[in-house]
Amino acid sequence: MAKPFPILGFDVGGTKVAVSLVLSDGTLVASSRVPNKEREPDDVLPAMVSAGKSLLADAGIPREELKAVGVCTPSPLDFKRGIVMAPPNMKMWKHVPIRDFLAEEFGVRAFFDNDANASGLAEWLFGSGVGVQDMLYLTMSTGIGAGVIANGHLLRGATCDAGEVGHMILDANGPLCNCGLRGCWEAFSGGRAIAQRMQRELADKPNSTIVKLAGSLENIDMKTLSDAVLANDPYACAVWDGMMERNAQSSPSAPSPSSAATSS
Amino acid sequence: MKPLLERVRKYGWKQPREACSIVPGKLGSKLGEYAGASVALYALHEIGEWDLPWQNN
Repeated sequence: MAKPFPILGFDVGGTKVAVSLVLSDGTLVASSRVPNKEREPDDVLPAMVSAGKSLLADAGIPREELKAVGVCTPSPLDFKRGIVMAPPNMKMWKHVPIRDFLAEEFGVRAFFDNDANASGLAEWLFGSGVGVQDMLYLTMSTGIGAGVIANGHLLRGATCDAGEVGHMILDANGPLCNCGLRGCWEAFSGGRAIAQRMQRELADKPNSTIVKLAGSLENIDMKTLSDAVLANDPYACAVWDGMMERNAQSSPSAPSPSSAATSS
Repeated sequence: MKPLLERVRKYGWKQPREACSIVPGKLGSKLGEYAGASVALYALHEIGEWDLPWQNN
């Protein structure tokens, strides 16, 4: 078996960047975090490079042994040109050529993809999807997205958004989605949409279990919902039940996998 | 409340539904640590410079 080689990974999110040094056999050597909440890319990108170089130095790995860099960001993005376009939760990142910047800084090839595809690849290569040929990775958090492995390959589609299953429309007269359309899966079951719905419906119910658990209307989130469900609160159970029904409706409509991995 | 797999019966075709399993992700809080690196590893695999982990055995 060939000697494992080192890779630097950058997972750019709305609040932080996860920087990691991983060997090709799946060994996670070390990792660190770079804050990214409401920061300009001009500040964050040099900090990412610095963090990556520190990980290499601390592990005693010379820069010339680094094989490649991988980076993922939220959509929308220009996959072919390696550019972050303008993700809704990273408003300061507009048309940032992140792939080529990292390639130049580290002097190696850099590869780029969206975060749902990247997470799907991670679960496929090192997690619950190891060895399967067909897999749908579903991420159900603030939004809903997927990474699709079909016949042993990542399915990207013409514009790299094959995994945007959160915007399948379940009801054209449904609630307004962040994307501007109505009735998307994400508008029914996304964490942000559910929280906003509860805040709206409980605005005049300060004594409800959910508001009490959250401490205030503004603090209501998915964790509050699950806590209230565990406490058998009837309103929370009804919201949860509706969300699960939409998840059940949507899951089989996403690209048919032989194995599905979920993360929340 | 009914679990997801029971609910899916109402919506999913029998054959693909029965061929499919729904499992939680394994990487949990380590997912972010592996996501970026996996992009690079898969790209290297696509150009023939890295074998998938199960192809080594």
